[in-house]
Amino acid sequence: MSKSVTRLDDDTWDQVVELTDGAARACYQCGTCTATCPWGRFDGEPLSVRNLMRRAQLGLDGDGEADALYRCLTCRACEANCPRGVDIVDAMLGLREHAFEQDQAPGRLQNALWSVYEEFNPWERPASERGDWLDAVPDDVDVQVGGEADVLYYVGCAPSYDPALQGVPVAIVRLLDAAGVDFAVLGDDEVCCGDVVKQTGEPDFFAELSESNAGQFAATGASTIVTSSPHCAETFVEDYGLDAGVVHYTEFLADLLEAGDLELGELDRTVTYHDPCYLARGAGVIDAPRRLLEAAGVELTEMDEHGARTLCCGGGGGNMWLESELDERFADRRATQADETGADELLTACPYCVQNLEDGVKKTGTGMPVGDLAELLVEALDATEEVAA
Amino acid sequence: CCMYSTKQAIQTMDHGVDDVTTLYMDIRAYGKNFDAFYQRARDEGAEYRRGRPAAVDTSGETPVVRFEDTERGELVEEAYDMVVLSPALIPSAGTSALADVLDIELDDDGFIEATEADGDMIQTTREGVYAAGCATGPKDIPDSVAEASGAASKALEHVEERTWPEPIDVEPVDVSGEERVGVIVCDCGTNIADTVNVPEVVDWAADLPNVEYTEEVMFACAGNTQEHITEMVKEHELNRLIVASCSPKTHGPTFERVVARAGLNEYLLEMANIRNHNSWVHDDNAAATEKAKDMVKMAVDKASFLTPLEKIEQPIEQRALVVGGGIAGMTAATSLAQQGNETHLVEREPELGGMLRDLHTLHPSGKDADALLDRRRDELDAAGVTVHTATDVENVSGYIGNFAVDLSTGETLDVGAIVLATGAGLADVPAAFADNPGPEVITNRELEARLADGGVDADRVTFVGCVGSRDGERGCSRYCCQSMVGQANRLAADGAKVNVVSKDIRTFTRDAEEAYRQAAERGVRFFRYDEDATPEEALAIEDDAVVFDDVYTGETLEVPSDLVVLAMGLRATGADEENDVAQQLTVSRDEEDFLLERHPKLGPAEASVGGVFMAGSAQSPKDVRDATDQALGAAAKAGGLLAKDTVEQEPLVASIDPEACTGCTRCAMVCPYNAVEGEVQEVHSIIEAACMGCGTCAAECPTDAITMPGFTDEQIEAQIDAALETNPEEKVITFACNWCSYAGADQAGIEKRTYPPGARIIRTMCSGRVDEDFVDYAFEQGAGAVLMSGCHIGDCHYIDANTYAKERYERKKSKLERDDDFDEDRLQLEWISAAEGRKFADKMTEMDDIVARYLEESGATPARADGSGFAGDAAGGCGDCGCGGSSGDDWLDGGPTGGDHA
Repeated sequence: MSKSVTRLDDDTWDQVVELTDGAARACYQCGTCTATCPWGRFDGEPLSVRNLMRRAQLGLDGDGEADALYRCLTCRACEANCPRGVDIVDAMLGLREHAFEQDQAPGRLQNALWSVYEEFNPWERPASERGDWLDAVPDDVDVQVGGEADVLYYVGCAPSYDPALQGVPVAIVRLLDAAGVDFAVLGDDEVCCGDVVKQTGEPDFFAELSESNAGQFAATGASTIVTSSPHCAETFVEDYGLDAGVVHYTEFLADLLEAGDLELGELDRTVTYHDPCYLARGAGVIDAPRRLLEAAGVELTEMDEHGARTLCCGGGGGNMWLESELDERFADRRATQADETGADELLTACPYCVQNLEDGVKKTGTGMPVGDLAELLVEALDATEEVAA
Repeated sequence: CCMYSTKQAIQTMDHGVDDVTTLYMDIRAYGKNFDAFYQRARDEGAEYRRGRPAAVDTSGETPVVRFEDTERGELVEEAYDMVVLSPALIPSAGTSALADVLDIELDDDGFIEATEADGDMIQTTREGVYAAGCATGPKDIPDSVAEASGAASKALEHVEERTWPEPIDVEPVDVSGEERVGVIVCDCGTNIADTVNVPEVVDWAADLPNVEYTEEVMFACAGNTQEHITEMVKEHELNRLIVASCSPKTHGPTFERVVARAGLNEYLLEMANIRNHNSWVHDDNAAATEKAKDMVKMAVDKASFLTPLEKIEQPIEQRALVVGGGIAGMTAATSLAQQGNETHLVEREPELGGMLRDLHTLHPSGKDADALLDRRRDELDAAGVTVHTATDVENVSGYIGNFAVDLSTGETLDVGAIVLATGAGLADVPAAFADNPGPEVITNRELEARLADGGVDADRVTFVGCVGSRDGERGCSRYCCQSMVGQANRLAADGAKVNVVSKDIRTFTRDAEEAYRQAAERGVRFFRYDEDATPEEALAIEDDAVVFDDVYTGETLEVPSDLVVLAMGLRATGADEENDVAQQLTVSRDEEDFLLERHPKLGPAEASVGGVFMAGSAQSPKDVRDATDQALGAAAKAGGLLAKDTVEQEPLVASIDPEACTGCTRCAMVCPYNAVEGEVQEVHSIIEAACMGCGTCAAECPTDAITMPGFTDEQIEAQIDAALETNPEEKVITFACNWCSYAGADQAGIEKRTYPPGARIIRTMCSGRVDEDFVDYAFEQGAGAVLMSGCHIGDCHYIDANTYAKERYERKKSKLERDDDFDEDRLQLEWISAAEGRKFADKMTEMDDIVARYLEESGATPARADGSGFAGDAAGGCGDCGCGGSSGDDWLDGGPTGGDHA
């Protein structure tokens, strides 16, 4: 045995098992995850999910594995195919906590984390400008900022700050308003959900953040929290232990539609829809956005990989803050696939997806407009009002 | 599924596909000889890659499979021409409805639940209702067959009255007069008729001597055609019948019944195999038609010498003996007694129980071993079995129905059936593990004792799998994975840090996979070491750790351990004992010295020696479930024999002409069954019940005093004459034994392997029957070449009778070598198993080359017009034959042992 010998350390094992909550134990190392992982589709180094699960099983230190560990998109494509039902993402996040303790988290993520610490958002923007998107809300729409309401609409960091996304919360509040929902937003007082903190592997700050957010949410007395981003929704559902129910806006609006509270006019166009991983695979919300599209009268032409089989835009798991060295990126491929459907527009329902797909469309030069579903719905809403007028 | 796909991998390669890949996670080659079969597939070039396919993309021209090769840590995307899936077995449709009707429970997966109250998987939740095979969970053929017999045994315990099938009641045909031969030539649809000109053969046969009736039929085996043939035999007062169709190995019994229904003795039937040995393997229609004529004439001429034979009735001593008092022996004895047989159980140790006494908990059932043993002991008593403990079997003589067994107590038992349940022993602990500077090393059996005493005093326990098994010479020990997983589970539940270092995890038995998963979820860590190394090569036990290369991480790992537990393989016992019972009974042993069953699939609980049965680990390593199931199967078979007061035996029994016998003893020396008795210089005789009919004595006898019915000298010489009547120098007289080479020739046909049409096959029961005189005679009649063929050495159906064929061949060959005018290559010997269709075809091609050379050198003119008809298009497999269309059944038997004795 000429190779160097790795000694399994009992303490590290105990520690890793605790951090991962033993999530990787049931894994029998079949490699389906590695072969499913979308990283494997590109010419660069595939991500050996199996190897990371092995490390979680054995309590092996993440030396040299941190890069791989943080490349994981947490898109759950692997989980959907795992024959043993291993909670792979849970194991990944546990391993990241261990890596963070060993000071191996990527610097860019640490910066994002500091930004959340200082300005309550990962984009290094002033906390005081968080509610600026409200300026674009039409005067005839009354948005309650703070105070008590049935529904709390949690906007999220990217839609609050990114000018390209600020239309999304504007659209959502208009839709909520049109449906007569009693809702409030938090304005400048809204604080990051902590997804990026969790993805970095910093448990203590995340606990602090979630506790304070949960307190703020409770103070509104809202029984339902609606989010723009599937990432925020999952963070609240998985880690906050809230009394209130949490739903993504597509599901909430689809219910309003069903109940007859929301009426949409017909738009004449063909779109394709990119399912966000966290929404389609994470929360299992696949029909709701399609029902909304149908109600808006648009024709949907699907990409081959849609629904639970969707292909990640490349932004999950903290990858919005990391750089990939590939010539071709997930969003580029997705943009090409979207173009092949012949649709007029590429829609999705997640801020990260919108940001990445816009980049992808630019890079591939397909020129297809990218947008969030909410913006299309508000157009449809306007179409109703025109008819009514 | 592992063995199923391994078999198919081999068959695919046999069909000329050289790039065959099998994806796997664990190779579960757990049965007898399964590992050797898996190894054979690898040796023949099948690639095994560990990884589970994530996707098969069928959108392109050929399917593309994505998987991770988990041994190399490589992501693979590969295109194949064909992807074959090995899907899981699930309960058959209707199981649930049947369970409702029978008022029995199903398990969580919807299979019929077995209570395992007696250790077996046969008893359902309702008394008097038994289950077998895949009804209680996925199983392979040998286990299903053994279990099915076991279920029959359990059912028989409730049956008081026995009924037997009525014999056929027809007036026997008097055959003393002139031979009146009927010839039926079958088209087999188009299988024969497309290649052989059947009407021409029928017309031609009508003119043969003694032939009174000929007919062409479309399907001879069709029900109404069978009736018609019976009628024709009666109407034309035929006293010999030739059916020229397919193989007597598959359809002999069918046409024997056809003649029997006409009142004709079934031994007056002869078949010409013009399908498997002709139409399926030749594509020159004219040559195939000529060959079919030869084959029909060979059968007609042999038939003239056929005589009616009567089945031999042997009296039966209706008493059973079970040797060995472990779980298998106790189970077999109890069941035999419950069926109403006087049963004796002999155990060498002072106490019953065998290896079960060393166990604490049975896995994966979790049942208590002591409780099972107590229950079994009580049932043994209640059933009235006579138990002889602290007793050895000293001497056994006799034969089916009449064995005399001398016990060490001085007692002699006269029994009709013997069940060998002599168990197995634990392998030795390798020295490298026994003497190490590190943690304590114990066997899994010692761990059982400690667990019985409350547990172990160790925080970190590491199990090592496959110690003394799967070492290149020995196969899987079958019981150990589930036992190891069970023990690991228990220790993990007790709070220890548990590691398992093994090759594959073969938790195949019902609920064992669930236990494996449970162990993993409890935190047991599973590692994999090199499957081609022994554990002592792959692992080092050091100061406080076990060190090895872990396949999954590709790293050398040091796993801290306070206690190392070795999962020990089982070894055969008895082979080197002086008074070994099996040896006295002439029961063969396999390569690992375990008892050799009659047939791995069709007779897994019987010896090939009549009246002897086997159960438990004496036959191959087993856990309690498998041992119990097989023991019940052996009891059913033995009970079936003892249920009547006589046993019917095939009349293929040698007889000695006292006038011609000189008492030279050569027949006695070559008889594999000690079936010849007589003093030197005095006339010898055959013990009919002990003779199995191989005929090696007849070949050996220097004065031709021994007659082998069905295969007499004159019958075989008549076949040689007929075969060589025209163009003898082009023909290859091929002697093929019934069990292997004849079946191998059948297999070549099933696989549609084209070879030159010179072969004229003469079937004997064993290659040992082939007399040197036959070879001389064939050459005297002008044969181009002679091929002797039989089972591989070690696979002989008659223990070792084929070794005499080899001796005779070598003797003959050396004589021919001394003759300068004779090309000794014209005589060949080849061992060809039932599975080796390709080898048979290849050999016939080689023989054709020899004949062609002989023709050229001797200046004889080939009769065929083009003069080049030899060996032309015959090499190798046809590749595109798509065979098996009409012979699906023939494939099914080609499992792990290749169906050598099919």
